[in-house]
Amino acid sequence: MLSIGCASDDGTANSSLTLPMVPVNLADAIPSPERNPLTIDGAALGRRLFYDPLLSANNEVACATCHIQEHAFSDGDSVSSAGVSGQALLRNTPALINLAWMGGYFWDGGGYDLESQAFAPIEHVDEMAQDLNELMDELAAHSDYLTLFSAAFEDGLTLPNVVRALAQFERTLISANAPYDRFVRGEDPDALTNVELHGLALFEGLCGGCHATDFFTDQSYRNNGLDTVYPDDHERVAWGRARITDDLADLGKYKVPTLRNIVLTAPYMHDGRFETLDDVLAHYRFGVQDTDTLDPLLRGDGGALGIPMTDDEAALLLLFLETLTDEDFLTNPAYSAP
Amino acid sequence: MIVVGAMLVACGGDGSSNTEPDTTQDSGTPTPDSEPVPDSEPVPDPGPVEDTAPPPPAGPGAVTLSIDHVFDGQPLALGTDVTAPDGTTLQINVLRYWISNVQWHQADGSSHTVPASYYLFEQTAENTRNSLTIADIPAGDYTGFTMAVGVDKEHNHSTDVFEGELSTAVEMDWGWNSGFIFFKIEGEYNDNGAMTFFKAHVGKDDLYREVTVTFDAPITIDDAHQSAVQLSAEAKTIFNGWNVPDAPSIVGGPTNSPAGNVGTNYSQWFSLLAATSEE
Repeated sequence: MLSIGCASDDGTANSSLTLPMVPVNLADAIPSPERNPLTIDGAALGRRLFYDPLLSANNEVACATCHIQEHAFSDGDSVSSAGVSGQALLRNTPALINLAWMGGYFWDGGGYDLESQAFAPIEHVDEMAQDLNELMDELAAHSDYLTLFSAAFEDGLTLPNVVRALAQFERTLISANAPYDRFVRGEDPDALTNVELHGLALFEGLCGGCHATDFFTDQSYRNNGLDTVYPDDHERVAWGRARITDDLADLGKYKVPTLRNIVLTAPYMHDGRFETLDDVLAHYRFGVQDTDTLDPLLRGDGGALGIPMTDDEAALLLLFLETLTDEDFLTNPAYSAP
Repeated sequence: MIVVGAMLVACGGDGSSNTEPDTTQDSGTPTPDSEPVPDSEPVPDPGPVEDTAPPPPAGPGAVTLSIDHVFDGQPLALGTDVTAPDGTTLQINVLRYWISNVQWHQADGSSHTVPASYYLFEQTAENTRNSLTIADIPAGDYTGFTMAVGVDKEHNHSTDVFEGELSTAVEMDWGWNSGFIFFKIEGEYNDNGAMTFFKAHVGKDDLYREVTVTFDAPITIDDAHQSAVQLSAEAKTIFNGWNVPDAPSIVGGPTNSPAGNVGTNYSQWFSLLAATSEE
């Protein structure tokens, strides 16, 4: 039921019919922490919780309110105001793609693992604003959840198991069946046109230093020259990675995001400041600002900033990025509201 | 009778017995787990004592650790005007912190580590919890103990692992930076006549602080003694290097300099009032 239909003919993928197979160009298996192994019942419970507004203080906001499947589990807003308070958030809603292989969640990596991360939006006053003791009362009083938790976990309904179920579902959100994937796995040599292949070659040279591997991120934290000042207000949210590490060398750094399904996850950057991919490329071509922690890859020979490219090259890059759209991921019924 | 120090000479022969609870009980003190004392095995008698009966080894005991919250030496009263070291008038309404990783030390250098020792101490309008009793400490004479304020980095990041009293349901965790808030103090300060909210929520691995307390004389902990350690925590110390009107809202770790100061301060605000052992 959770199969996403990727080819996996080498036999190394999960043999279960109801947990997703792992595309060979990503990994051999879905990693899980020892304390929270991935199970069919656990992931199914996590899916149910992901779509259930009961997790919020006013029972109107679910995880899925801001993590929408057709947007690759982002929301199309620069910053969301869909939380319980209606107050605009300070960061762009990230897409949820191939999270099982990521380390450090949120734009600044402050979420340590998927389990711990899930407490943040549930508790945050401008997101789901939920009191966790009240959540436990509501889950215990619900007609289904006691049974579902008992099926998924030996110790049944507990607060840790709420976030563990959510983490299990998130680990099944695997996207690797875009035209690009079908081409690199050799399943369909015609999946990319010659023009798109030209774009791929350019991409690898111009962008692949950070958007590396078939995850399209090297998972590093980098300052890409968006700003030159990092104010202290809002508990120093503008410090980026430095807010987490307490290392000033990390000022203004954010995690390199995956580019999978990038066409559907606008607007862009940690604060959603760029409406379109054209704007993003214009930033890298003309807009990179000099700052102490600017990534060295954005500082060229002779001190030139950014990534030089011609208009034609930018157009080819955009054509290539469209080949990272995975229709199966966006429409897979196993990921939709149960 | 208050006994301070090591008077149980009959128990002093075996320094290695403190790594595991000794199951052999004093036959004169029935306990639920008591086992018969083998009469054919005399316990070594290291010193001259008047009692000629072979003194059997004692069983594990308990100790109560309490921390008196004070300000300027007076019991801390919430919502009452006090004066910070820099002269700021303020009132404290919330004081909460994790005490963790307690270890009891014996004179021979050996230590007993209390498993899963994560405790939430607090003084708030809703609840005051400033003492705890730790059981199953191997019988022996203890010279001091070590505890930490905060949560060690091995337990501070996967916040779905609820070891001891650790939990995300007690409002002592952060979501933005998965981890526990080590120390929380909130209240109001006098801002030119207007009482204004202030807070410090301090944490992160670098502000985990171990504190070692050494007793004036060793105390006996075993199944025949009521043992207690009483500390004082001087809340005025917390405000050293923290001008509340300048930084009324501190959230985070060491690079936020008032937070770093608070971290230093909560490692220095304790003093030993008494360490006693009563037969």
